[in-house]
Amino acid sequence: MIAITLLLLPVIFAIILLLAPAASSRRIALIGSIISFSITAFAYSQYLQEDFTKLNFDVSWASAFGIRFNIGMDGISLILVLLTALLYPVIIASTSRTVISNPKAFYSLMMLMQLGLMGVFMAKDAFLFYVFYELTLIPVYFICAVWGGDRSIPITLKFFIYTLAGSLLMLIAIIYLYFKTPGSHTFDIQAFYQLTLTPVEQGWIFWAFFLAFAVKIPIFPFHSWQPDTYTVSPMAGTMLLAGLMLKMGIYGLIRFILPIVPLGLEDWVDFAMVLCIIGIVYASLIAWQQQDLKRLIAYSSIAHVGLIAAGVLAANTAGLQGAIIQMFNHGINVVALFFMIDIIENRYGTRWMDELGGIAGQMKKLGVLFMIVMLGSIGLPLTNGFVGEFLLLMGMYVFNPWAAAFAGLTLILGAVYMFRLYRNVFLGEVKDHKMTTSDVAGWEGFILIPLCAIVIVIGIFPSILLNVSEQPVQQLLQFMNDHKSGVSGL
Amino acid sequence: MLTSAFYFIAFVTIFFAIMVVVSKNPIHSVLYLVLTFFCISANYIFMLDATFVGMVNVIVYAGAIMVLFLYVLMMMNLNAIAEQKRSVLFKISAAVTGGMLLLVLVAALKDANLQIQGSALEAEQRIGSIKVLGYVLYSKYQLPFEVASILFLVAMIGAVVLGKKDNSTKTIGIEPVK
Amino acid sequence: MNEALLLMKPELIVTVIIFILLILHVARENSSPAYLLNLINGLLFINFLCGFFFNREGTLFGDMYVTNGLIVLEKNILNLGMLLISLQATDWLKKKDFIVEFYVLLLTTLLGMFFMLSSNNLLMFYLGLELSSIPLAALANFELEKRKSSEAAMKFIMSSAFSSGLLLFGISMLYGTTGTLNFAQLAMLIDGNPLQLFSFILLLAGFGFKISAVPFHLWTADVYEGSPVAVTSYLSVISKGAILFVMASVLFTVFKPLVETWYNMLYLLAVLTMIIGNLFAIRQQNLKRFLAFSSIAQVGFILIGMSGSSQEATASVIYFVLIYVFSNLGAFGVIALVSAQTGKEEIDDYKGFYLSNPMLALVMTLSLFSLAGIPPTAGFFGKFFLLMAGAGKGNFVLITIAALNMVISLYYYLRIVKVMFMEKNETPMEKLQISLFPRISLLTCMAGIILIGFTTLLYDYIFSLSTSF
Repeated sequence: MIAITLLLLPVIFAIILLLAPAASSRRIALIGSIISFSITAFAYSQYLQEDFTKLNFDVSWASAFGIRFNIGMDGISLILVLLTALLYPVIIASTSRTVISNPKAFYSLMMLMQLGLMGVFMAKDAFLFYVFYELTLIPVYFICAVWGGDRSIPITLKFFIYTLAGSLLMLIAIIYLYFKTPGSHTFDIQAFYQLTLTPVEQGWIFWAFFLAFAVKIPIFPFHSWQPDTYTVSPMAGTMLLAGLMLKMGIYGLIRFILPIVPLGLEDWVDFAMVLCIIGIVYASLIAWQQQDLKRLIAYSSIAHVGLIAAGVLAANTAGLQGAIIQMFNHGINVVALFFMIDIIENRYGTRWMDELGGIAGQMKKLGVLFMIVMLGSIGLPLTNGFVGEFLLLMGMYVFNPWAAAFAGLTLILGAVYMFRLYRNVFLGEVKDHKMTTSDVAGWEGFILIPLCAIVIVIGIFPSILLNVSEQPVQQLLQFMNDHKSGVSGL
Repeated sequence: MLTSAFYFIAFVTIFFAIMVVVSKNPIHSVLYLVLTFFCISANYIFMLDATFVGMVNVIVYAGAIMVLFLYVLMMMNLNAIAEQKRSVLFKISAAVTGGMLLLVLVAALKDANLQIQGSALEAEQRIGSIKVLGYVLYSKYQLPFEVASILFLVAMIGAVVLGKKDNSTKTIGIEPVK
Repeated sequence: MNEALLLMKPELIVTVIIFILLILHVARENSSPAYLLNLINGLLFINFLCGFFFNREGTLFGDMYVTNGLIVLEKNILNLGMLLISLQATDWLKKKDFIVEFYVLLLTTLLGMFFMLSSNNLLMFYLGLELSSIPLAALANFELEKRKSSEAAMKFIMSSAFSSGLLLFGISMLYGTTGTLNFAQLAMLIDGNPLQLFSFILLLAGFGFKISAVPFHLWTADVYEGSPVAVTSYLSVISKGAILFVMASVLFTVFKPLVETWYNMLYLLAVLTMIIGNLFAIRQQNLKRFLAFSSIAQVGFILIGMSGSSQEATASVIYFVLIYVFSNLGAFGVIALVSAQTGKEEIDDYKGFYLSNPMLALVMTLSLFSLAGIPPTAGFFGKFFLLMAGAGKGNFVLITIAALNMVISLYYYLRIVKVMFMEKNETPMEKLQISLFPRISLLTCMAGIILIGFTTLLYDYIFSLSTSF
């Protein structure tokens, strides 16, 4: 019941938004996202009490093809649903600083986006997964193109075509798997786990899925849509993309590639891993050169998710656990960073590094909060990033020490470019003395302080998330190993 | 006897058909076409015993349609000079395409199961006579007959519409609705 | 007797409406256009409603005419499309002199399609086909003063006559080898000898012309561009839909023994049609031409589903045509409104369309998304089911080509969306009046696009009506 409520709420609120007056749009959207969050928190408590009945929902949808409207949450889904529900109020609140033309449409699209994200993370039917996966594309396209900056139109078009092309490959793979299921075919993901496919088939399906997700994540060299799109999108759109939409790709890797095509993964993992690592180093180096704060965070995001994807591909407990917790952390950190950059841009009218300086002197609170999130993002011990990156690197070390060594560069480079950012923007002399600026306002603090608290709390008590994902991760690896031995036993 | 008669008529038909294509003067072409139709009708009447179809063919095709055709050609005052010059390449490609079609058709006919063909002909042989035709048309083929009549009615309406002048032509597509 | 009347109910109702119109035209010569349009749309609505009641199964006229649940459903889909187009055309027809003639011609084509759908005999099939295409030539020429309209009519009648010639040649050879025209008997007698194969190719070419599959598509763009919008939408939705229905049933019943042969032909046709249709659609500047090529590409997708030759194939083709009715008429409805009120039909004219007409822009966008097959619009489900039906044969190369083509098509559909929403225009279109009838029609299309996808019950229903292959 909880699961279906989480899907219905955004729809209901989208309809309310269309009917209600435009002036109250943001408030309504905020209320909707907070209700979603409280329901998700309830779901979390249900999960801890091991009461799973309310978390699942299953009805027949298109019986001719055995498609079911089957949604539910295991630990992995739950963490991502929680992330979505947590970030949504933040993202919606962040829009209050800017004037949005046609707010009805904007917030309705945001709600539609939430529906898509929740659906992707909860779908247990491959077809349903695909539908939701694509559903997220339309709202984000419009948000970025209509409310975005200059040149947003061709750039978002590129983004749209890229991701859709990728996911169509996934659709083919799903159809293929469907026809492989025994008896009257089904799209149930669990049924896909039971299939025994030949290594050649696995190789093809691996690539179909991998390309689809690699575009979304994005993994080098499929990342070219990302920095441009991030830069031109409105801040809310960037937050959606970086904080939540990327996670769909990694989630897909975990759900589909590991258990369904373990042999395909085994054959190609070295290649994919090399791509990830190239992406990590390359994006870090480019981030180092950036003057535009938003673009810098965009590239750092490529580096971080590259590491997460590499951890998933390592396919062991540490790597997967690290990937899951790091997805959560990355979502929190990157949204908080974008939020603060938005504050800076709002106060100083620019987000170019060489036009900024000495902000910490003028905005003391912002300086502190930014430092906390930044430390989390570069993975200092006792912050959330440390736990995730440590686990990820451990997983990669088990897979291959050299891979871990190269991927470890992300920590060093991350520290370098983030400290460079901090030194140039927050420290040093103030560039523009005429500007009178106010520090973090009350409502902004109301958002930023909890986010910073999460950064520290998860750094100290990572088990609140790790415990949740432990059991499904073990199960997934079990499936994978059974599958491997099953095929090699043939 | 019948076979040699068939070959004779067939030969004449093909000869006239070739003349239709070869003639420089369009009016000659049309006249050859009339002759071709006559020969085909002869085939119907003498070979297949299908008197009615043969007669209709003469009246409709050789008569009405071709006369109309001739009339139009004369009105438009076409003559040998007006014919477009086709490039050699065009002629060659047309010949190759046509030749290939002929080849495929001949090959297909060569291997066709003629036994079925024969029996089919036998079964429906009597259809040529007017009495049988009338009977069949109003019993077995009643529905197609009626549908065909609707088709003629509509064709007539369509022709009338095209021929009429539209009085409201001045405003269309330019001015918005009042 | 009663039973027989009920069996032929759809045809009889359409015939009655035609006669009412003819008599009315003679009896009350000076009826106002508004009165006529209200009356006709009312009659068409009744016609549509009647399609749902008192449906029977059976054959008539010595196996010439057959009807069953599936055929009734197909006729209902055509009735619905007819009604929607008629509602959309009101603005344009109000300014015309020949409203009654227009509808008489249009309804006769519908009658022809009904006979074609119910045909159980190649003779009836051919007559139905002719009845459904000859009046359309007159309709294509309905903008009497426009040269392009006459050109469209000329091209249409020529290509139509040529394809009919091919069909007849094929049919006559089939008759020569089997001695029958009855579908069921043909299915038993066809053994795949060369002459039958040859006749099959001719028949397929005839069909190819009618559904404008590549390489038989050359007439499409010119005819679509030149014809009035109402006729263009009728050509692209109703005519095409009816012929696709018949094509599926002819291939699946009569040519069932040759399935191995025609699978490869459909494969080739589908690939060519999708690729060429898409590539040409990218370059178009006129919206009607653009939709012409996009509809060619859509036919390619339908051919994929048809190549599946299974119960799923029949169901998915019908389901897709239903969705196609909604999505394409959504787009054409907007074009019809714009064309009738401003005379503009170029893509560039739609720059900044969103600013002056937000609702119409939204309708257009949803329709285009549905045509492009983006979830969660109905078009996605339609295409997905077609792909599933095609994939049943295990040919994943074909499915991959189809997916790549969906990406290309996405590019050009989004181009229109982009033009409407995001580009500036120095001379923007004024705010358009949407009168009641077009409004109803557009709302129906939107409801169809949004709801049909989610409630796949309809697909299950069509599936249950379809016969197994």
